[in-house]
Amino acid sequence: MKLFFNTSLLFSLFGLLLITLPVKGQLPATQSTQIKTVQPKIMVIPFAKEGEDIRTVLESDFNKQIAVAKVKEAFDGRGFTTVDFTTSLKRAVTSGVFTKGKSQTDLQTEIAQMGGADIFVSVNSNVSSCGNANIFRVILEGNDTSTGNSLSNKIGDSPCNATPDLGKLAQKAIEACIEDFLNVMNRKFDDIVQNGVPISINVGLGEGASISDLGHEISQKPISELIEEWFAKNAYKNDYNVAFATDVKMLIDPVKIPLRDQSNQTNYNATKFSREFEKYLQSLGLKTNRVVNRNQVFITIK
Amino acid sequence: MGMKKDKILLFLLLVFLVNACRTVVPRAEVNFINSRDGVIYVRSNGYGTNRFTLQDNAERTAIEILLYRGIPGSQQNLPLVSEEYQAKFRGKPGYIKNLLDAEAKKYRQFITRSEPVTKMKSIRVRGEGFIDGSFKPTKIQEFEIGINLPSLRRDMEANNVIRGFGY
Repeated sequence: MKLFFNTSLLFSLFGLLLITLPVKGQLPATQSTQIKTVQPKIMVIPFAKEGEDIRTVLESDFNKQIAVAKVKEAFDGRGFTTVDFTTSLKRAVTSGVFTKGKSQTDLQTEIAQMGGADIFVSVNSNVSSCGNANIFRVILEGNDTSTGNSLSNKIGDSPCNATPDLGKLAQKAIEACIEDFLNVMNRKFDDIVQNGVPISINVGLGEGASISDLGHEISQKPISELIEEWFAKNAYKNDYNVAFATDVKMLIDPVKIPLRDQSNQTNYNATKFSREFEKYLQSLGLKTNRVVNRNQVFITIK
Repeated sequence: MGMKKDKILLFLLLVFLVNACRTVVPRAEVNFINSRDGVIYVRSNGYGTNRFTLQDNAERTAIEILLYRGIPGSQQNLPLVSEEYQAKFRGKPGYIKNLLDAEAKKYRQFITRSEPVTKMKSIRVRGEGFIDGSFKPTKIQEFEIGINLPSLRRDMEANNVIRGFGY
């Protein structure tokens, strides 16, 4: 009898081990003790007016291509890899070809097809005359795509020169301002490293939602108040802002989240943070749908 | 007429004597000239007693200003070292102290050019290390210094004094 029980216990323990191992074990091929912070995706593009196609603007003017390439070279010089606009566009088009024929018109597909980056650096250029010579002038603007925050802005001028080689002047104009541009941008990154990444969270009611408005009370408190209390408690360093709140919509922009999970120092992002928020809404008895596009989160209460 | 001439001569002599030995407070004077291929060229005043100390002082001052103040008009018009790092480590043993050490002269690794652009001038200087009211004669000379900024930045990133670009 004693032997039977000992054997049963042994088998139970072995079974438990077999069940837990595949869940907790990491793939041997990807094992590493180092954690590398996820870097922002930065894309350098030429400035395009409303209605203008960026690709057409870039391909129609070789001097603009030189200016864009010079900016990308400066990022490379700092050891940072940017994302090429044309290649990203080709990828997006290719994905479109593969999913052609399948009816996917929801927001998720549209966002995926847009491609894009966390930060766009726009290069606006102009040639003006100075006597019998030319000045090449550039405006560099770096903006966060999710929040619209301006990260860096610089104006650069080439020397006044009679050379017909405008490409050379374009390079001089970029050289005049790019290092300072990158320094200012990196200072903003210092703030992000210390005080968190700004993300935005849109909460709205879907068609036929189970509640009529965000003033609906749960545990004697309106949902909008419960939402704000959650962000007050969970925003990194209590840094959040309710941009607006109506009966059917609420925008929390920005709310700061850390780059690293403070409990285990792994990379942290808007997807993980918004998942926790979604779980909270679900704990209130609400059904939700969540869409995440980089640092923009859209939560729909169904 | 004779008296008037004497007064004018006396006045001119007085002006000459006052300006012959100006008393200046030593201060960092680093002015941006231009930059090429990432190297920043500046004019820096060196204070010392001979041509070697003058040059060392000018080079050290240029690097120090770049680290703690930035150089207006240049591609590094913000301090290279953050205010936070300065508050924690300035004056304490560490990378910056080694870099600026007068004996080791590590900062010279990042100097690409160091040429005098003015002649040595004698001045009377009131400054650190002097007892109030006493003066020690010294010299001043301006140098054109070239600093290899990308190389200095990479070295500081490798030694975790500054963050690399990005998060």
